[in-house]
This record gives sequence, C-alpha cells and structure tokens, in this order.
Amino acid sequence: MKKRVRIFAAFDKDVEEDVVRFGDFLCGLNAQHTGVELSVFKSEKELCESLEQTTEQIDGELDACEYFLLILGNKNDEFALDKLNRALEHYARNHGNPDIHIFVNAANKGADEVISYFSSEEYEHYVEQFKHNDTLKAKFLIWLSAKQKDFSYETDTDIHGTPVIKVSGRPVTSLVDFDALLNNEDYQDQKKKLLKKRSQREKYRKEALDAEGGERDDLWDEISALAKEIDVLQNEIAARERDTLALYQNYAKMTLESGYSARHKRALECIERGELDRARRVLDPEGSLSNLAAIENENKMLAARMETNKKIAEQEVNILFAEINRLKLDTGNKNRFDEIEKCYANIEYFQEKLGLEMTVLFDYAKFLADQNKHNASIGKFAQELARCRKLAETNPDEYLPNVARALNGLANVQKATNHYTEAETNYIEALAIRRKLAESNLDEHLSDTAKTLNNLAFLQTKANRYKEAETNYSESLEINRKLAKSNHDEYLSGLAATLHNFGIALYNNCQYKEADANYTEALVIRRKLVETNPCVYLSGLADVLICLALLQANTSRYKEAETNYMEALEIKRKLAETNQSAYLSGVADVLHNLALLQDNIKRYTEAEANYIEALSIYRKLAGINPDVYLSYVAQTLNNLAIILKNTNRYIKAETNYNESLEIRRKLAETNPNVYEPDVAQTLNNLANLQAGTNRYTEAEANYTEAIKIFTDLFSKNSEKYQDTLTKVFKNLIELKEKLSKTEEVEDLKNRLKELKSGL
Amino acid sequence: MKEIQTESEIKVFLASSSELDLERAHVGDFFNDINSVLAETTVRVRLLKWENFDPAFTGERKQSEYDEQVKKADVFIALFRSLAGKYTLEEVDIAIAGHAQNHRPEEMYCFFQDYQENREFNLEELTVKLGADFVTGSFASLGDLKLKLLKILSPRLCACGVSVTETDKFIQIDSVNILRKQG
Repeated sequence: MKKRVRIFAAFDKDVEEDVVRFGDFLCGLNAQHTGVELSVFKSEKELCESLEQTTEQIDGELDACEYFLLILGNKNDEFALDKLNRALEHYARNHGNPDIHIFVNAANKGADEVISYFSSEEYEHYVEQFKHNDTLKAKFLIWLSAKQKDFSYETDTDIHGTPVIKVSGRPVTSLVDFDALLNNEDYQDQKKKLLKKRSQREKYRKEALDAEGGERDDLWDEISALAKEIDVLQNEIAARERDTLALYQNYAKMTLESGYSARHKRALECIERGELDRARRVLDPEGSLSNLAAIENENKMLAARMETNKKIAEQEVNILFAEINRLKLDTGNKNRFDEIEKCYANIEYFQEKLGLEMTVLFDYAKFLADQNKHNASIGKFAQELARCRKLAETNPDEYLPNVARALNGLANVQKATNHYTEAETNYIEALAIRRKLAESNLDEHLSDTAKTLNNLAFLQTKANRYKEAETNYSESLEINRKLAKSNHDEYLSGLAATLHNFGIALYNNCQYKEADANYTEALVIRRKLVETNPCVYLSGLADVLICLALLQANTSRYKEAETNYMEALEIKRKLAETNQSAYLSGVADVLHNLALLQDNIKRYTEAEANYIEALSIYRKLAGINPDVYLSYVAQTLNNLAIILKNTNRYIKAETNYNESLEIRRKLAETNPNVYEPDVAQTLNNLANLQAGTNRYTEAEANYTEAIKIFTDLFSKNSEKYQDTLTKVFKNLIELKEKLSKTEEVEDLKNRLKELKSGL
Repeated sequence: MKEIQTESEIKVFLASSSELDLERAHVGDFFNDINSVLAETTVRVRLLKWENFDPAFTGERKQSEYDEQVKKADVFIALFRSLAGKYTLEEVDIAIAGHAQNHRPEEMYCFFQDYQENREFNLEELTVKLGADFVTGSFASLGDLKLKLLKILSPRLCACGVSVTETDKFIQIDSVNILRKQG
C-alpha cells in the first residue's frame, strides 16, 4: 500500500531536459519499495497545447497537488508564472498546501535574471538553485523526506567514492554536483587529498610488485600507512556528506514546521557555502555548546581564507584600474566605454564583497554621469556620500574633502536632471566645507572652492537669480585667475569653465558685450588646451563655440554664428562616433540651435532638415531618459511646427504643436515653475495657427489660457514676461476685433493697461 | 489522501548503449506519465533498466542480477543508434536465452534509430543474431518511439482493464490524451 503523492511540475522550454530526467527519476523511484508513489503532472505551454489539455484539467491537477514545483531556466515564461500565481493562491487558501518550490537551473544563461526576478521577500524563500540535474533530484528527495513520514533515504558512496543518495538500499541519485558540497572548500580539499593519496598508493603498489625479487618492505609499509590515511579521509568525507545533507534536511523540516524566516535563509546560505558549524549554530542557537571549538576553528579558517582572497582581490582591483586608464586612451576602440563600465562594476564587486575600502565609487559615479547615465550615477554618488560621511565622523581631515567632492558630484547630476532644489542644497554644503578647507590656502582646495562656486552660480543663473550668480562667478573667477598664473592645464581649464558659465549668465541677463568677452577668452584658452589634449578638451571647445554662436545669432551676426555652429557640430559628431551616450545629445543641441538660426534667416529647408534630425535624436534619448529629454522633444516639435506653419503645412504643424503641448502640460504637472511658460508659449503658437485657419473658437480658448498663465508669471517676474504677455493680449484683441466682439476687446485693452500701469 | 494498492505490473526491460541516455530518460519519463494517468487504478508500467537496479551505480554489473531482471520482464526492448555496446549485446543474449527457456521475456523488440552516418556495427549481422523471436523496426524520433511503445503496451494494458484508444490526433489512456500522433 503506497501513499499517492501528487506533484504539479510547471516548467519552461529551457529546462525541458531537466524535467524529462526528473520524470525518469520519479519513475525509477516508484519502482523502489518506499511508502509513497509519486505521480507528476507536467505543465508547459507547448506540451499542454500539443495534448489539448483543458484549463479545467490543469486547474484540477493544481487543486489536487501536494507539491508544486516550478522549474525554470528563464523568467519569460508567462504560462509557467501563471501557474505559480495560482499555486500561491492555493497556498494562501489551504494553509500551506501545496508545498511550493522554485528550482532555477543556475547553469542556464537566463538564471541570473530568474533569481533576481524572484528575489523579493514574497518569493525568495521558495527559490533554490541547481547546476546539475542530480542536485535537483537530491533537493527534492530531502524536501520529500522532511514532510513524508513514509519516505526516507540514506547517504552512501559508490565503489569509486562518489557520494550517492540511496532509497530502499538502491542508489537513486549522485551527490557529486550537490551545491553545498561543491562549494565546501574543505570538503573539496579533502577529496583532492584522497585522490592524491590513492594515486600514490597505486604507484607504490605497482613499484612494489614490479620490484625484482619482490623484496620492497619499505614500499609495503608506505602502502599500509597510506591505506590507513585513506580510510580516515574517506570517513571524514562521508561524515561531512552526511552532515551536509542532515543539516539541509533539518533546514527543510524547520521551514516546513515553523515557516520561513531570516534565520532559515541565513542557515541555507551557510549550508550552501559549506560553513556547516555556522549553519548548525544558526539553526539551533541554543543548542549544545560542544561545537564552540569547531566554530572557532572554522572562524579562524574563514578569516585566513578571507585574508588570502583580499590580497588576490586587491591585485585584481589594481589591474582593473590600470585597464580603465588604458581603455580611456584607446580612442580607436568603440566599445571602450562599455568595457570601462564593466571594469568599474567588477572593482565595486571585489571591494564590496571582500570588505575593501570602496575607493571606486566616486570615479564610477562620475563615469556614469559623463555617460549621461544619470540615475545610476546618482545612486553611486549617494553611496559614496554616505560612505565618506561615516568615515569623516572619525577622520575628518582625510574624509571631509571627499564628502565635499561627493556632494558636488551629486549636485552636478541633480542639476543635469533638473532637480535644482536638491542640487543647490548639496552645492551649498559642499561650498561650506570647501571654503573651510581653503583657509589652508592650498591650491587644490582653492580650485575645488572655485568649482563649486561656479556650479552654484550656474544653477542660480538657471533660476534667473543673476545677482547671486554674478557674485559667485566673480569670486570663482578671481580664484581661477590667480591659480591659472601657474599655467597648469587643470587651472586653465577651470578658468575657461568659469568664463564660459559666467558668459551664459551675462548673456541671459542681456549683457551681450560682457558675455561676448567672456566667451571669447574662454574660447582662446580652450583652443590652446585642445592642442595639448584633444581627448579631454574638445567637448568643452564645442560647448563654448555653441554659446558664442547663440550670442552672435541673437545679435544678428548670423554668418559668424553659423560658422561656429558648424565647427561645434563637426566636433560633436566626431565625439559621438566613439561615445554616443555622452555626446549624442550634444549633436542634437547644435542641430537644434543651427536650425533656429536658419529659420530666423528664412532658410527653411535646411532648418527643417536639422530640426528633424535633432528631433529624432531627442526622441531616442527620451526613450532612455525622459526626465531630461522630453522637454527637448517638446521644444523641437514646437519649433518645427513654426516652420511647417510658415510654409503653409498646417495639418502637420498642428500635429506637432499638439504633441508638444501634451508633453509640456505633463511636465508642468510636476515642475510648473520651469514648464508653465513653455505650455503658454505653445498655446499661443497653436492659437495663431488656428486663428490663421479660421478656427476662431479654438484659437480664442487657447489664447485665453495662454494669457492666464502669462499673467500669473508676469505677477512674479514682470520684466521677463511683459513683452510676451503683451503680444498674446494683442493676438487675442486682434482676433476678437475680427469677430466684432467690441465689448470684450475693450475689456482686454483695459486689462492690459492695468497690468502695464501696475509696473 | 486516497491509498491504493498496486497489483498489475507490466514490466519492460530497456537495453541500450550510453549514447541513447537521453532517449532512455524520455522513456522513463513517458512511463511515469502513463502511471500518473493510471494512478487511480491498480495497474502500473514498470521500467527495468540498469540505472534503476544496479547497486554499484557505476557500470559495474552483476551478471546474476541482470539475468534475474531480464527474465522478470514481460517485454524486452533494445535500442540502437550507432553503437552496439558490450553490455547491451549481453542483455540481448540473456533475453534470447530466457525467452527460449521459459518464454520470459514474453515479447522481444529491437528498434534501430534512423542514423545517416555509418553505424559502428553491422546491422544485418545483428538482425541475424536477434533471430526470429525478435520483432525489429526503426524509429525516427522520440514521438515515434513513444508511439511504438504504446502500441506494444496497449494489448497488455487492455488485458488489465485499462482503456487505450486511438483518435484522429491522439492515443488516449482512460480517455486522457497521452500522446499526440505525428503528422
């Protein structure tokens, strides 16, 4: 009389062979004299479809099963995952039935993804890995024996010393690939020793037998001694195998009895790493203290192993840093940035896993920022900041500069992703630290202070706080001019950066002459720097060319502007060829500005082509980083629509305006200060188009909404919005005059007068 | 949980060389599928193969146990692809001797997998060696092999009261689709 145990096995195609071998294994097991008969229902999409199994049939099997196994090689099999969700529902309803196990084939390419997919608290305790089919079988047997009182197994070795699991005295699966044994270094060492001693014994035996006259007592003594040693080793190995399996079974039993907990998770980790005494202590913390000596011994061995590993890791880290430096100079290698990123990730792994100082985080974060991988960069900067703050508590002299460095770096990325408030807070803290450090008058600290002043001022320029920006730029410039006297590239570069950024602030404040002077000085310095190190300074040269061209375009010096844009575009395209993620956005920026210029001088065809290319790049970038690039998409759509309207392609123009408006409205929901003026701008443009095509009602509504937004903005910054608001008012007045709405016209005129008189 | 008693066993001995290891696993898995469908009955199909009873588990064989196992079988099936290994041929010899002596195994089959390259044994010689008591044939795929196995098992299952039916698309056991017919 056998007890029937029903198993539901859901799986994906990648592990089909594992499931076939598992089914074969169950077939063999059922032939043994055990108290249970295992019947399995296999569930895989193609198989179920091929046999035309009905949903009722599948659900019926799921309802009745005592064990639910999900065996996976990838995470994309929705059919299998659906079965897991059903099993989880059953589990919740039926007080812990069925037993759920997720076995992941760790040898499969998709394993990492599966494991990470199931890494949440909800799933993690169901998940176990196997590299070899035998491990899957062994783990299943252990779980089975932990729950089924009618089923038991024993461990043994075959004639070659391979550990096996026996059921009813018959070997049913090998343990040679059992993870917990494979990962147990002491066990593996013992096995190697055993093999060595066996081969030595064979060698001696052969020599003794071949010896002339057979008189080789010395060898026979050696053989006898080796036999004893082999015996001892074999016993130790067998004991460790039994111990490993017994602990695993204890873990399984305790989990079944009292539910999964953090303690059980820790125990499993210890077992799978081969730290058996530690696992025993975790599973039975109040148990016998007789193991203390063994635990201490194990700790010592672990510490020694850790030390050795640390030394190896340190060497590896140095090699990887050297590789990064090599790759940075390997400009012909198109994959160098991916390879550099991998190097950083590996260094981080080594440093973290082995408790080495995490010196890589800042460089890694900065590299990610340079690659426009902003979110990842923010994460690394935040980690670096937390690390340095902690170290600075006990060693401020060494680590406070690093705290400031991390704050400054973090703020740079926050600024780039339009998180201005957070960026300003971090700049201010960094500046306070750097000013204090600069009291020492060391060039290094002075330069850092100037950099943060520069960054902070840039942010203030963005927020139209020109006075504060000017004060900070002036201080930064003073420091940089002093430092640049040394003619050192780094300080010259700092001076150029401050001149450039200060130029932007002056330009934004309509001080064109002063801005021009700053840009021109920055340009001269950067051209000089490019001569010595194009790799580092070319991008900066292009940036200052763009700013200068923008100024020239706005002061009607179109020819000079176009020449500068073209030079900048060539540089950016060249840079983007080898590093798209860092420079592709720059290509789009120049194309956009150049198109704007061409639009102004009525070279619509060229302008349109450049807008279209810029738009295509921005769309691509927005797919990766919408926070940053969606606003650029909207701006380019708006500008392209203006050209389309001016060339009488109204339908296309309207489509672009509408898409732009939709994006801008969405952006304004989360950041109204920045994006509401843009919403109003597009509303006005759209209304112009509608008015021009006799769709007066729609135009009226859009002008009215634009006026409402601009009036609000005017109340906060009358100087900036006066002209724009007046224009929109005039547009609406003109429209209403056309519609003979005399009273409303008068009302609008009065409102406009009131607003102006309030200035 | 319902308890059942196993009474009727159809024992199949499967002999093949190690190159057909995965095919052997498929057969075991298929038998397990059949037994799962038969779970509520007292009928079972048992697969006898060396992995399932060799105490050494390493290829070290005990002749006496092999004799016993082969002679216990109702059906003996040998599979060949490119090799005819020493142990497989020994098993074939035991089956022929047992069949001649006690009519155990009762039925003997030999299937050669379709193989485009040269086999390392002489097919004609082996067919002659198998003799008239062996039914020989070929199989093109796993599906084909499973279909042949079902056809062999079908009369024995029916004799035990199990219904094995054939529809346009499927072979069914007790009205459950167990195998899709190819083509």
